[in-house]
Amino acid sequence: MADIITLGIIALYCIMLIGIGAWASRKILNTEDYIVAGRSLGFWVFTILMVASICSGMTLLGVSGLGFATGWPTIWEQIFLPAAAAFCITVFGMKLHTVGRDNGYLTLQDYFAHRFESVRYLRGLSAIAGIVVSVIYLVGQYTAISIVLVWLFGIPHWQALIIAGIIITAYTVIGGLYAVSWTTLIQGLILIFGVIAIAPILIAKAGGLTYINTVLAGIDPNFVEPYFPSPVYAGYAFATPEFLFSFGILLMVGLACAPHVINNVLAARETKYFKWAPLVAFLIYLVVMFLVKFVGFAVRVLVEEGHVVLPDVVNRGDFAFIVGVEYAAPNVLIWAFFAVIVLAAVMSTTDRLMLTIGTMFSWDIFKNILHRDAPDKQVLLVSRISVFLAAVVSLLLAINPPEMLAWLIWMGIGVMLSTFAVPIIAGLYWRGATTKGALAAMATGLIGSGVFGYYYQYIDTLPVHFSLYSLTLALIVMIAVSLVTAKNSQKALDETMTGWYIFRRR
Amino acid sequence: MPFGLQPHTILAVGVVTLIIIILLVIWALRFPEDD
Repeated sequence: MADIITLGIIALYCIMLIGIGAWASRKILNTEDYIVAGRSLGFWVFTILMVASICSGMTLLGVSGLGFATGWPTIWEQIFLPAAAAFCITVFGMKLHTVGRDNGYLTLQDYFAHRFESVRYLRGLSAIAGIVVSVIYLVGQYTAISIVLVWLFGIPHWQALIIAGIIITAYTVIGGLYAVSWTTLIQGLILIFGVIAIAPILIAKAGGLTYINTVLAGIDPNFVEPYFPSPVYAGYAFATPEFLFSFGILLMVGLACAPHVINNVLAARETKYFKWAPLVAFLIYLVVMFLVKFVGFAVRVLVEEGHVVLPDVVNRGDFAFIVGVEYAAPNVLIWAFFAVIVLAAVMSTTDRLMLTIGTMFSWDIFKNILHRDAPDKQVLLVSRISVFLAAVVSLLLAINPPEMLAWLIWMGIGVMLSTFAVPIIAGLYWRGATTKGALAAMATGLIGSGVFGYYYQYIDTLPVHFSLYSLTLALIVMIAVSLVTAKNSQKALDETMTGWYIFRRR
Repeated sequence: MPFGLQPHTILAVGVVTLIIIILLVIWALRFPEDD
């Protein structure tokens, strides 16, 4: 529970974030400045932004929670998440950045409209789909923030939501991507160094890694195996080899094509950053992820031995990180600092998501479909209003949070994967992919993920994550429809560097 | 058991991580220089 020092440090931290927003607002002269920070992000700001956009609230709370509940078989999540950053930069980012700079793209939808020569329909459908999946994801993020604030201050859930909503909306509305990227850099650094500092202390307090693993093996021998042999013997044993396969695609490809992640590649200043950014992002994120997972293992041992107690709630594992840090932190100052780390992790994804929703509405729907001759100032104003509205809508939805936060987040990623992966990959690498093929694949993915997701959640379990079915369906539809419909012009294909290559041909 | 883990657990996690790192190093080394 919070005391005056914790409260003071968190208040100071929030004032700093709003200060950055105010500073950033002075750099914003037009829509391009607001949406892609004037394409000016340097190597480290860009690389940390990629990591921190993926590293959501659930990354910290959920990863340690999953480690607490399932042991080593789910360690693959800690490889797939960093791989998503690398996958996005290499497979999507390099090409999108190059053609994005040539053609002045502000969003992924600009690319779709150009590549598939569909100014209205494909742009409209992908923007609407992007907004829907981002709102689902955003509700999950706000719920995670609320978990932290409720725990810290003992205030009601709705008060926690309003406080978080006001602070994040303030700096995002005024500062755009400049504010989001700079606050994210600071939040990302706090997160990285914080986890590296506290995790070893906690692991040592629980008896060291070898001892922790021995205790885990005593609880369930499969806790030290690379996967569970069968999902039937326990509720937590879902990570079978076939599930892990679909889970790998879900996290690596699904997060890589999430609108709030992929749009970052358009904001990097220079193409040469894409040389080392994938490896640097992967390694930094990998170390942080493994340490957070080990925190989950360590807290399991501490709970088994009666040193700490988790709250008696459905999602008690989600509290493993907070309870563990509280136990390991030697004094209240450090504990307050770690409260800031947890908040930083949740807020850095939330602000990026809100900006993405605002952008998709103002730029793709308002400017490019509804009001093509709208002046830049008006588009900027609509951007800011829609960021605000995105916050209001998702806060209203988050007032009644779902019981299983991880399920909501994975569902959001599943919908993103099914809707966007096939049109992006086919668009970038297959000259035969057509406008109608992309439209059909996107619609199939969006609707299919809803149907399979509903079945998975309410009717019967499936051996793999539901998104693998809707992704496969979208892929089949893309190929079939593209083969029988009119091809796009050679000019559009050449201008968007479409084909089986990544680097610009000389 | 090393670190209290099954040897094949360490091997599986290590090999997959190493393969990704090697692929990303190859990516960087083959990255074209500026025009």
